[in-house]
Amino acid sequence: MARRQKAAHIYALKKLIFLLFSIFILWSFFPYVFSQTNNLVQAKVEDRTDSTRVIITSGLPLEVFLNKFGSSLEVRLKSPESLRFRSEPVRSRLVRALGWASTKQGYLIAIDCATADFYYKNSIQPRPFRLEIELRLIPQQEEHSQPQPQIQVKPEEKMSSSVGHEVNAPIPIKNIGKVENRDDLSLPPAARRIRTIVIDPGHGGLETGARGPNGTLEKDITLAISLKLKEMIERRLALRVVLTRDKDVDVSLENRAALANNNRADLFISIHANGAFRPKAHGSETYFLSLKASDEEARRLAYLENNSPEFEKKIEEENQNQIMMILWDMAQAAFLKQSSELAEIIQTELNKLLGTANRGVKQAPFKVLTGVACPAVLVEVAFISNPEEEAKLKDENFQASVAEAIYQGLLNYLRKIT
Amino acid sequence: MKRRRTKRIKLFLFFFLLILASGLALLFFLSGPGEKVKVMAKKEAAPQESSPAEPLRRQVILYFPSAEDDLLHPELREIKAASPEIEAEEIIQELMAGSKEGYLSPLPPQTRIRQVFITRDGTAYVDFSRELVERHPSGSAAELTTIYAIVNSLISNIKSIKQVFFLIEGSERETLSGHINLNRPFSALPSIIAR
Repeated sequence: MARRQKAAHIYALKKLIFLLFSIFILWSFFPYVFSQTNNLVQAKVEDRTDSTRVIITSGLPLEVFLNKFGSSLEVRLKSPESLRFRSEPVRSRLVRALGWASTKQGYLIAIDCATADFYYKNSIQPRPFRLEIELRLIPQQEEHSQPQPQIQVKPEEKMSSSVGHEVNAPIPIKNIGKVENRDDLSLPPAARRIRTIVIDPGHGGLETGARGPNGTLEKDITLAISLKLKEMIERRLALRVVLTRDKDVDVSLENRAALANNNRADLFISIHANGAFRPKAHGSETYFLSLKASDEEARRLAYLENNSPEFEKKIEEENQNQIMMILWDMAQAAFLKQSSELAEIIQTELNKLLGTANRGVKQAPFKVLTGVACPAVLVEVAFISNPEEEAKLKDENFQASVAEAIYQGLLNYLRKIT
Repeated sequence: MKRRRTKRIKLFLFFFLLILASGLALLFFLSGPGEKVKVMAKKEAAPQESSPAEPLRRQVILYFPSAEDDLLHPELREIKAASPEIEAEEIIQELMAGSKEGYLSPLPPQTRIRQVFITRDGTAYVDFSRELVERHPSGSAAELTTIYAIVNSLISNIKSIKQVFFLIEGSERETLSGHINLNRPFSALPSIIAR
């Protein structure tokens, strides 16, 4: 009898252990099951009387980065979990469509708007995650008016100057004084469609670039030449010139491209000084982008190239979101042909005016060029790692002839595109 | 008594099935969506280039920059035949050790190679220590030299590598020093090899 009682005890104990174990298992994976529904990102668009709101919600806390590119607002989401996206049908005056893509760095929602003339404000609630973006049209004014102060997203940015990190802010247009002997009056009208030129002085701030054997820094040379070139273009041509930096500050490579796109750049010229392992390397070269696209990307890019520069109008509405996704990453792909022409013309002038060795036009995957949505080149003026050329690069007269050579190249390019 | 016993067996069976079911459910949910368990095919079945019994050596061609021109110059070396990952590491070690024929070193000598792994689609992820960036002389030409000395040396010697992706201290980096895009893999560039 005692034995039987003992057996019963053990039996009860076993039952208890089993119960506890099953409860533990159920308890441990239930939250996981629920989290599967948490990874949904939902978006809806609402029109208000004078604005449009895009509301994005999710069960997961997300990191968000916003960027305006022309008529699109890009919302980058970072999350360790994989995300799914659902959007309510978009019916709005301003927002045409919402696009969703997963990128290497995370996820991306592209808010495609009917016009580029809008500005946005946003507010974020972390938990539960809720991002509200308010889009408003910029009141219509004259075409060449002064920049709109409303565009600035954060109040502190109102104080800062034309360059730096505030990619969303427009660069003030300098009032050009008297019109005297302007070269562009002799240009054909087609070339006058080029309005904005972005000049990108390589490196800056902590990112010094290459260093010459006598301590000259690439970032200082590129800035000196860029300032001279800007002054030259503004004095002789009625063009708007935007610098990606006008002082010794860090600007990320992505922001440089974004700045060009947000300012609707028509040409992009990046200025660098070269550096090599061998001290004897010398000469000038001009680069345009080389792209190594995956097969799928290559197929889409071929389509874009065949349809550029007016490709946007020819793409049916339904494909537009998909194609926009490539544009953020590889906007330059659609402009390779024009970029190569611009590179050839600038290189010819460098050869004529500088007396440096001709290293020719080359292609390489430069980070700064990938996202630029207009013809773009990168000029490697001379080798700062070569003591002789380092001395030249430091010389103001040489810097002025570099600016002159690039200016002449630019002028020839403008004349050519009729 | 007998009845009670069968009842007990039934109960045990019930619990056994419950545990089994919950275990299976656990497995099912943990494996989750397909992309979550995308494990890099590390140490993938090495194409047997040698029998593992004897430490065979094989000849490889390394590419070094020269002081006289902008091309990469071939130099023959012998390394231990091993799995593609280990051979890749050895090839980079040899590049870092420098040329024996008077060519220049394509990467800072302080650099260490942390790891190489090769995915099924033939992308070699090559992870370098931070010195590759910090001690790099900088400049477009220098960046191109470093990148293509490594890329050409790896792709021309190891069949399973079709493209090379650079990592620094285990993570992606935009550029070495502000020029060439490292966010995309590199294919071989035969045009900068001296003939």
